[in-house]
Amino acid sequence: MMNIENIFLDYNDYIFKYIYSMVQNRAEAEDLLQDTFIKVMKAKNKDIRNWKSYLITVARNTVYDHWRKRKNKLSLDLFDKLKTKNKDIELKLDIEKGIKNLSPKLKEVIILREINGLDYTEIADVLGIEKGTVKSRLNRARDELKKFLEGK
Amino acid sequence: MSCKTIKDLLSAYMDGELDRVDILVVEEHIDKCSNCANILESYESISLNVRSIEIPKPSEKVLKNIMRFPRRKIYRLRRLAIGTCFLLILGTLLVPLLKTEEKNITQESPKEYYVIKEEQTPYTEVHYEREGNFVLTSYSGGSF
Repeated sequence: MMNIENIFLDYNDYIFKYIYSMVQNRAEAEDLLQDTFIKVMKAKNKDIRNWKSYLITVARNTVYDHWRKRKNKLSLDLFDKLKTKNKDIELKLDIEKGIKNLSPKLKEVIILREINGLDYTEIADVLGIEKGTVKSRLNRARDELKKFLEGK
Repeated sequence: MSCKTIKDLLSAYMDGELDRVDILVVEEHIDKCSNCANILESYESISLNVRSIEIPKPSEKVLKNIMRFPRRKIYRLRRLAIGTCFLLILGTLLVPLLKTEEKNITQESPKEYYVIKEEQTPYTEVHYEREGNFVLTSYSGGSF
């Protein structure tokens, strides 16, 4: 069994990326990061084969619980406050708007794939869906992003 | 193979999630079809741009808070929970025992419980004693 402090040190940044992308608010994301790790500490962490998937699943549940409590589904302001580092700011802003316009299901697969770098099996595991569904959702998400950018 | 079928595979091809056969099918198709090759290029550009979106890191203060999160507190809570469970179990076991004891006492015959001593005195003195402790003395008959 891994030491929880080491797990936290290894994965806090990774989990924060996911949470921040989902809630697009730093203070809120930091609170949810703490909640996620408290849940992990309280859980019996035996037989965790894939910590990345496990932590993302806990983080996802924490985000959804938070939304349920606030009766506030996926915010439409996703990525509104994200900053870009590339010179191609215009394209990036368009992509951010495109992601913002995606349905929650498509947005989530894009975040898990592109921002968290999970593979299809891991995404399927986290979302509790078939690998084939991950494949089709990602295809649709990219297709919609492409159409959005072409329409600009 | 039709462009529609290939288009459905492009995303997974880019992510390296296709099996060997499908990889060959896609590669063979995009070599000949510029339309599908352009779609793949667009997907790759989108992917690169999404990946390079800058996301802040959690603040040092939050990280320290999490690191300091008292694990001891959790263990304390666990101990408290275990203690409460133990007491509850003990309570559930003891209550029926006490009830049984009470029942036994009421069922006991007074004959078993009291020792009657009769003494030869001008009058008959009867001592009712409870296990050696004096309880009651009564007088019956006899003359002074």
